[in-house]
Amino acid sequence: MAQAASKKGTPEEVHKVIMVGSGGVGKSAITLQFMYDEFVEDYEPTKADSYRKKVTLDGKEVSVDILDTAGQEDYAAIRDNYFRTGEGFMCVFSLTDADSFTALEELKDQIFRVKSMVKIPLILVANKVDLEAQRKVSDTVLQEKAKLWGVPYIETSARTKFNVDKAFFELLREIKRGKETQNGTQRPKTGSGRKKIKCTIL
Amino acid sequence: MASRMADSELRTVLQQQVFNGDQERLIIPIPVMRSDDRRRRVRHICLAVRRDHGFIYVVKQDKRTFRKKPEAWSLVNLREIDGHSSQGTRAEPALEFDLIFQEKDKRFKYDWTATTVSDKNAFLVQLSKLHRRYGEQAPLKFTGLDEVLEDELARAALEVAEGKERVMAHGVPSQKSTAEKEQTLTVTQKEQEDLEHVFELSRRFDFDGEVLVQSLTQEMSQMESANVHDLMNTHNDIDNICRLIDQSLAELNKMDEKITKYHGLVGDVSSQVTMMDETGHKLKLQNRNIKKLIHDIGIVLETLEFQNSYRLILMDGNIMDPAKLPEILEAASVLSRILKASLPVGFDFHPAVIKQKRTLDNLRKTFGNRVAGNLTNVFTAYSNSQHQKREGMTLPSHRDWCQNLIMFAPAVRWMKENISDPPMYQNLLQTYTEKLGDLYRREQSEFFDKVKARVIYTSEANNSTKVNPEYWLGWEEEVRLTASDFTDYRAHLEPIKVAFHQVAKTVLDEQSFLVEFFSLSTDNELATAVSGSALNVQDSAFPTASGLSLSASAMQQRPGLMHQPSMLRTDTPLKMVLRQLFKNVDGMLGNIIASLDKGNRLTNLGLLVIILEILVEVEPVCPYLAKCYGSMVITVKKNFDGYIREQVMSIMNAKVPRKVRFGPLPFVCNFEHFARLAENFFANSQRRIELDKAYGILIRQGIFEGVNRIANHKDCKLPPEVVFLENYHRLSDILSRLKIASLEELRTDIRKGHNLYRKSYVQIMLGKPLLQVQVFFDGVDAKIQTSGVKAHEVGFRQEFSKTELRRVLALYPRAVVKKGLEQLYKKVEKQLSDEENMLQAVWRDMQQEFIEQYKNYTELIDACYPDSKITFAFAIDDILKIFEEIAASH
Repeated sequence: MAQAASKKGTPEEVHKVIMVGSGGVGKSAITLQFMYDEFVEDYEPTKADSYRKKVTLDGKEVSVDILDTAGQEDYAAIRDNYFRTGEGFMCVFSLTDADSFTALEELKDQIFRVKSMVKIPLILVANKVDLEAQRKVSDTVLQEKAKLWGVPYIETSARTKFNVDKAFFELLREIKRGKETQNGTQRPKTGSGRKKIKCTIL
Repeated sequence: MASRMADSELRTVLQQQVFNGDQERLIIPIPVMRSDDRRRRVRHICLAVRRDHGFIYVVKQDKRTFRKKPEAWSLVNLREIDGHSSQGTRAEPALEFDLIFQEKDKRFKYDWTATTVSDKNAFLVQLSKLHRRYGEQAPLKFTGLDEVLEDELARAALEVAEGKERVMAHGVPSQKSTAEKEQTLTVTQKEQEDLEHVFELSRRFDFDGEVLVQSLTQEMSQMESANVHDLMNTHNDIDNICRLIDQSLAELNKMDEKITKYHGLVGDVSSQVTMMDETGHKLKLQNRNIKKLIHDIGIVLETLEFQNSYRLILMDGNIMDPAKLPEILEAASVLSRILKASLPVGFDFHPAVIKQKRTLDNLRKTFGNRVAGNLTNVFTAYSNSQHQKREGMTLPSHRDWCQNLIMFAPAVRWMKENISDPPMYQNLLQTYTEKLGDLYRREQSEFFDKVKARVIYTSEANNSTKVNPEYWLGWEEEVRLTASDFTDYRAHLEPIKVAFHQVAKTVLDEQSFLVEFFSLSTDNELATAVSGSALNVQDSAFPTASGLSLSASAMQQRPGLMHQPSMLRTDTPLKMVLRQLFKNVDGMLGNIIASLDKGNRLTNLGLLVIILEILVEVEPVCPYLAKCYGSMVITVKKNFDGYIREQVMSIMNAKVPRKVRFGPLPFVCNFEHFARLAENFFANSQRRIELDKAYGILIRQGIFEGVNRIANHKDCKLPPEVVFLENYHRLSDILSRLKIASLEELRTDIRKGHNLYRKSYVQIMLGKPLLQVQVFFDGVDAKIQTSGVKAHEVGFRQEFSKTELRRVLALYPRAVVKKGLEQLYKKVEKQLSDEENMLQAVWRDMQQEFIEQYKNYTELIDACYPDSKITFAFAIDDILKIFEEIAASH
């Protein structure tokens, strides 16, 4: 029957996704398709918007926090803070805009600098695949970039919702995997720490 | 005419003055001129007859005296006439003409010019005529004639040839008046002969006058005596004629008498014939009447004859025997046909006919009584029959029984159509209604007991697991509803749904039976024809399909509006019978609804859908159910509206969460679950307008007010902006996920509201971190505005000197700024909840806002203190560095 949402129970797992990319590549459109299955034609530059959605990832219910960011930011340092909080990054560019593809390089460097980690869950998203005729970035170039970065890539269309969910789930799995390996290395530490405290109490 | 008179006068004068003496007769004179006469003297060329010859004279005029020229041309010598016109043209004819004569071997030519064409033509015509008559020697040759003249000449030639020609004084015969004719000396053939005779005599007597007179006198007397003789002879003849006339008259009188006599005889015969005619006609008429009478009597006998076998079967035949029923029905229909048959005029008053009709009428009533009696027994027996207890929640079906009874439908219809006094049909219907009404009441009370038990059972079952059966939005915590809740809710409402469907099924079955068996009409429109019943008035609220969309409260406010359709609609007999048969249904259904409302007000939501849906189904086919269920809808709608109002109240009474960072409020989250439950139930309903209205009320009057109340509550530990921005963020998220079309506009508004509160939160929280700088420049600005000091001159003022500025800027070294921003970040982090995840977005706005403030100050410094090279103790890169450090520190 109806259940009171227990806030005291085990806190549900939350994965924090940051949408990264130049202005107008479709970060918000991808987010809104994933969130609400809707496509908004009108373009309005985003400042920063947050969303939360519950999804079932490999049989387990998890929450996804999505931070949809501004493509045009006057000072890159402003991004530092939210890059810092992000656990996975969706690096979006538009297949119809070669500059947006190039611009990702700098953003990726900033992410790595801020996170100061070797392996960061990140997915390269080539949006607007529905506009095939206006394509400016070839498949080979894209492949090469993904290979160079050592990240998966995916072609999406926010307009048709093609591969949108797939992109998110792929990234979520990356995040999950990343957390598991992290926990795997950290757990012995924390576990022993806890035990120690318990011991003291006992 | 004047000229003509002058012509005739001239001719008279000429005849007297010039021609008379010579015993010549002037035919025609015309005024002419010689073509070669320079003086243009007028002469008259005259055509005259002397003896047997025509002559042409020329007469000179000297004032009133005329003088004839001695020489005259005989027509005999005239050879040729030249008219001086070109032949056959229509050009203006010439006035000139030439006369050419020949005497022996000499030719003479005379040229003349006439004054008018008509004169010329007339002259020439007369000339030609005379020539034909007197100048027979050689034919005249005409040259240079115009068309008119040629025609006239031809006509003249013809007249002369036909002998019609008379010698005339004037040349234009067609235009002559009688007066002129009398003036002319016409000489007929006879006269001429007489004259010649006289001349002969005169010649013979050698011009001896005496002898001539004597001879003439003698001849005269001879002629007179001859005349007297003639006269005498004539007198005798007259006498003879008179005598003959008298004789004829006598004869005529005799004839007349005879005719009168014959006429009398013929008259007698004619009157006799007429009399015979009339008699014959009367006989024929009589004959025809007799024939017609015989024929009519035949018809009457044929019409009123009712076979004895029919009579017997109507009296004694077993009505309940299906085998015999058709025969009985046939006899009954024959009987009614006989009774309704119209007889030839006048027979209705015949004693024998009256007697027969009375007999048949009695037979009709007897049969009617038998039918009614039998059916009454059937109804009573069925009503009293013990029906077995039923398993499950269904109302018993009477279809089989009805099916068996249908064969009597013709008999009932016969009764309805044929017997109105006493009202056997009405009585039978009344009996049926009473008996079956009893049966239905028993069955329904048993059924409704079960329904009620089930409803209570399910609600108790629900209660055992549910926190509260009534899902209030204003609960202290968010309460999620799962798919199983939706199914449970449906299950809970199932009994009532079944109840409504069962009742509808029974009523519709009954209705079709009534229509078929009792020939009641379903036609709604017939209702107006039937006079309104008293029952109708007390049920004031009859909702029409459109009426349902009105909210119950609106209906209450305007009872007059609801009265109107019911006043206009009067009940059909069918509806009245159904109401009597099912008079307990309203109450029983009402009870269930009331107990559901009492047990769990949330059920009103589902009830509304259930009843609206079934109402849509039955409305067009059953007026009774339409009305009955319609009033249920109103009740449920009223309950539903009340429930929504209470939901709003529950939101308004919601407690302020004890937690500091409480994030989205429970009633905001609960709205999503409530809406999902409602959407699940209303999914396919076409009546979701009620629900959409309820959403509007819940959000505007409930959630907006509720958030506002909490945000400004004294127990709330958060700035109101946080409450607004987080809850509006969540509400916008919920509405985006629900995708309820009617709430789209609201969603946009909520989104805007969220942005507005976010902006004001950023501004309020960030405030003016470099406050002294702000104060300094506020002062600068005031100075510029009020004293008209130019921006770059402000620095020369004592209070705004460069030193002063340096002092203020020195208040904010990098470390102070960094500390301030770090504190701000921590503060914001503590206020914003994890659930709404607004921290990063808000912090981004704050960083942006701070940089903008800094840039604004540096711009002011550049404007007011140009080239002073005064700067903040920290550069923009330092700010960015601080941001990086803050980011790196957590």
